[in-house]
Amino acid sequence: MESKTVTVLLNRAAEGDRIAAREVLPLVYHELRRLASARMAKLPPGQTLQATALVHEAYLAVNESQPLGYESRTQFFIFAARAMRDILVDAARRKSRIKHGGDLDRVELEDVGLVVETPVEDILALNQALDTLEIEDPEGHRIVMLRYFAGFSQSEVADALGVSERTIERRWRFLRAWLLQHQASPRDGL
Amino acid sequence: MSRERFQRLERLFMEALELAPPERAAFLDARCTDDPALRREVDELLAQDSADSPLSLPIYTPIEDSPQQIGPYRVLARIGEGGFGIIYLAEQLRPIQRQVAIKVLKAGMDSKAVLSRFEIERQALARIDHPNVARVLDAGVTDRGRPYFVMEYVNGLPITDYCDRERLDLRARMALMIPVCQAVQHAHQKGIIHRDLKPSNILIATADGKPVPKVIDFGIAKATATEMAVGTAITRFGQVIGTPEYMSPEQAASGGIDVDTRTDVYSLGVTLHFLLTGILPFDAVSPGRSAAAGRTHAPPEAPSVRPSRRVTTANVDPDVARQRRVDTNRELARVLNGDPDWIIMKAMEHDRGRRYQAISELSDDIGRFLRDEPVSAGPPSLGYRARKYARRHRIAFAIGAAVLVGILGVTAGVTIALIESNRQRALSEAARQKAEEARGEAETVTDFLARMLTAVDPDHLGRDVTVRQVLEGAAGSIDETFMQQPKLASRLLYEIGWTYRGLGETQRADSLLERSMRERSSLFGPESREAYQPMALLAEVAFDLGRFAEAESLHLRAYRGRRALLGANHDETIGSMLGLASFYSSMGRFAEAEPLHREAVRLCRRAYGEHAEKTLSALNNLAIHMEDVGRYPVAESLHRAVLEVRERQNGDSSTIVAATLNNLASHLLRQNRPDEAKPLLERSLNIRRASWRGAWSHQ
Repeated sequence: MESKTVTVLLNRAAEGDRIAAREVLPLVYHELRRLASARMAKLPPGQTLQATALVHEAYLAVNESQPLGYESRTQFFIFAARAMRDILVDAARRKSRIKHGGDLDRVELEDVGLVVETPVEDILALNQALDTLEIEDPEGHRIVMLRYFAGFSQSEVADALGVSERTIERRWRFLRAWLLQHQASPRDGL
Repeated sequence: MSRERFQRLERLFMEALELAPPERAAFLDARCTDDPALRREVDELLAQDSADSPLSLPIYTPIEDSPQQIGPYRVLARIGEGGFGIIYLAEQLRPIQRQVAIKVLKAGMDSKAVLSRFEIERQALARIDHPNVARVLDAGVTDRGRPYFVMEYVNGLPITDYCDRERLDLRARMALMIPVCQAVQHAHQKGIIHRDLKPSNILIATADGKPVPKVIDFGIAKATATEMAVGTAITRFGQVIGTPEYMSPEQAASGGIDVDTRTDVYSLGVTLHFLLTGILPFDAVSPGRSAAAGRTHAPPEAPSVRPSRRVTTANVDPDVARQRRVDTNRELARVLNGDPDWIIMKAMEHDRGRRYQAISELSDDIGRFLRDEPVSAGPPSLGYRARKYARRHRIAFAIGAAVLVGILGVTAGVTIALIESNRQRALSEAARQKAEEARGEAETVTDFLARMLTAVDPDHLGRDVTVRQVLEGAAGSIDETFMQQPKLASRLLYEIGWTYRGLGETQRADSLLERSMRERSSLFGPESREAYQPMALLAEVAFDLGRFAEAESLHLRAYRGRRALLGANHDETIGSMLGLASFYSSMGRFAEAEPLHREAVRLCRRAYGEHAEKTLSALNNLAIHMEDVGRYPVAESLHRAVLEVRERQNGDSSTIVAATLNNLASHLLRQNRPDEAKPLLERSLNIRRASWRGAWSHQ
């Protein structure tokens, strides 16, 4: 993948180009996978990657070739988080097709070297709740993506979205509760 | 849901969060009058608000699948998991090929600290060599920075599961605890406290169809203890690591800092309780609740309910009785009632000073129960009084240095005899020869002791070399060192037996004294002065072990023999007379005791003088006898007389005065005169405190 392309697309997406946004996502996704497998090859067997480190590394790789503007930078992380979420949901869907029954239900992403202890059904239910949230409250959705899927700290989220840390803290508490509540509702239509 | 409504929901939620929980309801009532559904929704969201939400941490955590390799060990399978971490079965290839169990600790512990604490114990652990202990072989850090421990692999079930599966009855279950106790006792002698004894750490393997208990995890609890204490004991999901139900009160209260070997006595008591009754002694405290309250778990003051009662009152599964080969829980209660109750209660005493003071005492009691002999634990009864009596008369030997004197006395005695004899100019040839012999003996003994003491290499054993370790070495090498000098060997056997008894290692004392007596009987004759010496002490030991008939016959033989051989006024005869008198008193046979007590006083006066310590000691015994038969005024005046002389002779602050004060005070307490007893006990306490300070300040 051309990092340059990512930058261009991101910059256009940041300006409101919806087509650019749709195109950039698979690119970020591939970039993450590429980075992950390159890193895995260098690691001793059994070692794992940190999701957050991975996302940041992808950002550095993209940013190096052609610096991103402030808006694009935030956009990138949200796309990266989105990519992580998609990777995860894909794996969860695969697993829920293969396995029935109550074993440990952890989703292992062997090729990325990540593991999620959250049960498969919860991931899929959460995915649905997030889709709803994206419609109801797009900014809230971005907060969740950055915190939960990109592993941002509170101040990093505040920084990326240009709001105060206090606001993020209060909103996060609400979003956390809202997601849990809506994730807990009947899980149909997976 | 409209965006507008969503925003309203969020605003209400945030505003409610700013309020204290009790104020929220009124606030929401006021704000949601038009929309009860919204009100309900806010309530539900508020209920979901928690820092422990699964969403609070990023969704990814590092992978945790079974590693292929841990350090130099090849992982074969995952065999267990607990609050502490995961256990793997692994294979060691070098230096020998064998299977081992590896315990990998959970993330979040300071692995450096864990390992350095383990290093401190490593030397001592290496010295543990017991068929009922699974050895800890190695420790290290995994690729991911987790500490791990490598242990001998035991293919077995936890003791409770094994006993239930085999449907063992109570006696068989008790019998299985004896080797467990021996294993723990062995570790204690090597200076290792287990700190985490519980059924899952006591596995039963089978060899040739017979159960072989193996105690696992020695040294691990200590290495990880501080980590537990500083707060990682509670995981992200509120899971408490470790099993607080088996933890002694002092261990729970001090975070593991102020514990000694008696903490293991407690844990084995709880284990025995569970093994025999199928339930824990206390109703489980909800870990979540105690963690939320920020308390460390501490068991209630005392297990006030006897196990036999608890079986009938607590909600016990009817299977429990059947697994123990009795029909009903009532029947189970009946067999538990009595000794099993008392043994468990004593092991589980809240105050460690009132527990069995050593694991060996616990296993001795279990052994007595199995042989249908009276156990040391029990309610106030004849046995109880007998112990109390014995305790009041026994000299405290606990201080290590003092104990050594017992052995060193052998050398000193011989050497002094030698100096004395050298000083005598008019020396017969026979006497000279004897002196030469004595010198030879003295040298051999000195060499022996010197080697024994230097063999205890501090680098090898760690700093806290105990007298027990020295003794163990000594007892073990007497045979080869003194093969040519059986007389000397028999004497050392006696001395070491004497010392062991002082340390409370009664079983060991028993076998050494028994040997000493046998050898002296064949060397000097069964009715020799030399044979009576171990015999007299063996009588005491037999009493300690509850073999009362044997104790009586040994006392009588020694007393009568000495009287015939040495005369009534001889020191050793008087010693035997005091011993026999005390024995009768302990057994409640006061009519037989009294003439002996009286004659002992009379003979002491004549032999040593009115104010000699031995005379005072005999008077003290007579005083206690008078108490026993209810002649309180006589008893009191005797106690006071002894106190007065001792104060005059030894000074106000000597420990013997403290002991006398205690005796007088307990006499007063017996008569329900606590106000008079209190100042005496305070004085005694102050004397003892000062003497301990003195003893420690020399360190």
